[in-house]
Amino acid sequence: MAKVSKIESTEFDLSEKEYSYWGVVWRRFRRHRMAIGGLVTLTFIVLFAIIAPLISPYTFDAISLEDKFSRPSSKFILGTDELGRDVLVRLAYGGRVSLFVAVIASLSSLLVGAIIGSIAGFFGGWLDNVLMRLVDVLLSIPTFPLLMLLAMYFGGSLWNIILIFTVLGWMGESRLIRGYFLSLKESEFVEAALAIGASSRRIIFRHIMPNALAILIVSVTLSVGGVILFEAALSYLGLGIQPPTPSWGNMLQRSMEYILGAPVEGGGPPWWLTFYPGLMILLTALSVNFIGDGLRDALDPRLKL
Amino acid sequence: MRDYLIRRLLQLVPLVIAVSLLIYFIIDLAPGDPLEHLLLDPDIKMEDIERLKEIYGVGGPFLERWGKWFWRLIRYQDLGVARFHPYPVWDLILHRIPVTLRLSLLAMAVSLAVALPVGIFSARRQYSGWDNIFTGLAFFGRSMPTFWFGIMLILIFGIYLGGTPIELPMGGLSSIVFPEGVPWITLQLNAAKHHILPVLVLGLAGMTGWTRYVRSTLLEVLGQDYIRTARAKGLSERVVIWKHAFRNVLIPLITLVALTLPALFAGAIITETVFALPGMGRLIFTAVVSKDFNLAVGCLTFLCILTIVSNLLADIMYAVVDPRVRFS
Repeated sequence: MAKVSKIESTEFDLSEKEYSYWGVVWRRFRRHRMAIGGLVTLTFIVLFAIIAPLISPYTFDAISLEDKFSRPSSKFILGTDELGRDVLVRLAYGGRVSLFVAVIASLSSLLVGAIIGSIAGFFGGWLDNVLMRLVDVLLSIPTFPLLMLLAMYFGGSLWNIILIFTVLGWMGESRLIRGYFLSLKESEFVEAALAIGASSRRIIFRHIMPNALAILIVSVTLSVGGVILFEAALSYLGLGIQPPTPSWGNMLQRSMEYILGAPVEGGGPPWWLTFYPGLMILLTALSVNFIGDGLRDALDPRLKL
Repeated sequence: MRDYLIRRLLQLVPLVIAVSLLIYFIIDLAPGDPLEHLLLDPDIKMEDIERLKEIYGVGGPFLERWGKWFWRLIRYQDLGVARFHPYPVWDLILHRIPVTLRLSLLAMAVSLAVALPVGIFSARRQYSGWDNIFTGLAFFGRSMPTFWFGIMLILIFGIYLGGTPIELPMGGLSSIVFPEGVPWITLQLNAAKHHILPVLVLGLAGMTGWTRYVRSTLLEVLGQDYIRTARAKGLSERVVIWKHAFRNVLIPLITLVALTLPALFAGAIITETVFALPGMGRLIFTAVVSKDFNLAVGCLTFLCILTIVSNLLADIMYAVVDPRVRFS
C-alpha cells in the first residue's frame, strides 16, 4: 500500500510541473526576450504612474509661475510647463489616466464584442445576419473620424472617452468570436454537451469560450496599445481627455504652441514638454505590443492575428 | 467574371445606403440647433431662417431629411452647402483631394520602396542580426504616435538643424515668399522639400507594416513544395526568388495596397494637422470641430465610399491576379 501511494504522489508532482497549460504558456512566454522586456518596461511604467505622485513634493496641478519653462534640473527632474507645473508628476498622473482609459476601454469592447459575437455565432439565422451586416457597415466607416465626431459631441470626459472607444471598438472581436462559435458549434464535444441537455448558457461559457480564450487575451493586449495611440491622437487634436485632467495626449497638445511658436526666454524651444509625454506613449505602446506578440506565440503558436 | 462583377456591384447598393444612413444619423446626434446662433441677430426675419433651413437641410423628421439629402446626392451629385466656408461641399472636397491624394500616393510609393527590399532581405536571412533589427523597427513603427513622430522631425529638421543644408520646412505646401520670375525647377524643388517630412510621417505605418507582411508571406511561399522543386532543378537562387516566389508575394500585397488608401486618407487628418497642409484631412477636422453638418456628412460619406470602393477593387484585383480564385 505504501509503495502505491508513493508512486501516485510522484506522478501527481510530474503532472503539476510539466503539463499545466498556464505553466507551459509561461515557459514559452519567458523565452520571448522582447516580450519579457515589454513586461518589465510596462511594470515600471505602471509603478511610476502609481508611486511617483505619492512621493513627489509637487502635485500635478500646483502652479508656480516663477518656475515656468524650467529646464530639466535637479529641482524639476523633467522640467516644468508653461504654468510652472512639474512635468514628471504630471507624466505619472497622465499615465494613470491614459492607462486606465486604455485598459477599461479594451476590456469593455471585448465584453461587448464577445456578447454580440457569441449571440451571432451561437444562434445563427437572421440574428447572425443582422448583427454581422451591422458590423460590415460599421467597419466601412473609418474609425478615427467617427471617434472625433463622437468625442466632439459628447465631450472628452474620462468616461465619455471610454464609452466612445467601446462603441467603436467591438466589431473586430465580435467577428473573431463568431468565427470560433461557427466552427466549434459543429464539433463533437459541443454535440455531446447538447446531447446530455446542457443549457445554451453552459455551452457558451463552459465549452466554447475557453477555446477562444487565447485569441481573446492576445486581442485585448494589442487593443490596449491601439487605444493608447488613438486616445493620444484624439487629445492631440484637442478632442480627447480635457484639461485640467492631464493625459499624455493633452500634455503634448498643450506643448505644441510653445514648441513651434515664439521662442521661450532663455533660448530654444521647451523640447521636454513634447519629448517626454510622446516617449511615454511610445514606450507603453511598444511594450504592450511586444507582450501581445509574446502572448500570441506562447498561448498558441499556430495563431495568426 | 462579368457576373461576379455585377453581383459585387449590386451588393454595394444596400451597403452604401446603410452606411450613409448611419453617418447621417451619427452626425445628426449633435446637440443643439446648427442655426440657433442666427436668432441672436435682432434684425433677422423668420422667413430668412426658414429659407436657410431649407438650404442647409435642417429641421423636419430624420428620415425625410436623409431621403432628400441622399436623393440630391444621387440625382445631382450635390452634397449641399458648407456653413463656415460658403461653398458647395463637393467643390471643397474636390479642391482638397489633390493635396491628400498626392501625399497618400507618395507615402505608398515610399512604403513599397522600403517594404519590398527590406522584407525580402529579412525573409532570406531569417533570424539574422539584421532581420532582428528590422523586426524591432517594425514594432517601433506600429507603436509610434504618428503626430509625435512628426513633431520630433519638425523639431530636429526644422529648428535644431535650421540654417544647415539639411534644414527642412516645418509645414505648408511651399515657402510663401518667392520673388518674381523664379524658375519652375526651384518651385518644384521647394514643393518637394515640403513633402519629405509629411510623406515620411504618413508612410511610417505602411513602411513597417508592409515590410513585416512581405517577410512573412515570402517565408510562407519559400516553404512550399514548388520552391523546393525549383531549387532541386538547379535553378539559381535569383530565379527562384524573383520568378517563382516573388510573384506569389505580390498577390496578397496588391490587396493590401488597395485597402491602405482609405487608411491613408484617415491618417492624413493627423499628418495634415501637424504640417499645416490644406488637404482632405484638415477639411474633415474643420468640419468636425466647427460642427458643420453638411461638410461633415459630405466628407465622411466620401471617405466611406472610398473605403467601400477600395475593398471592392482589392477583391477584384485579387481575383484577376490569382488564377486560383473562382467566381462562384
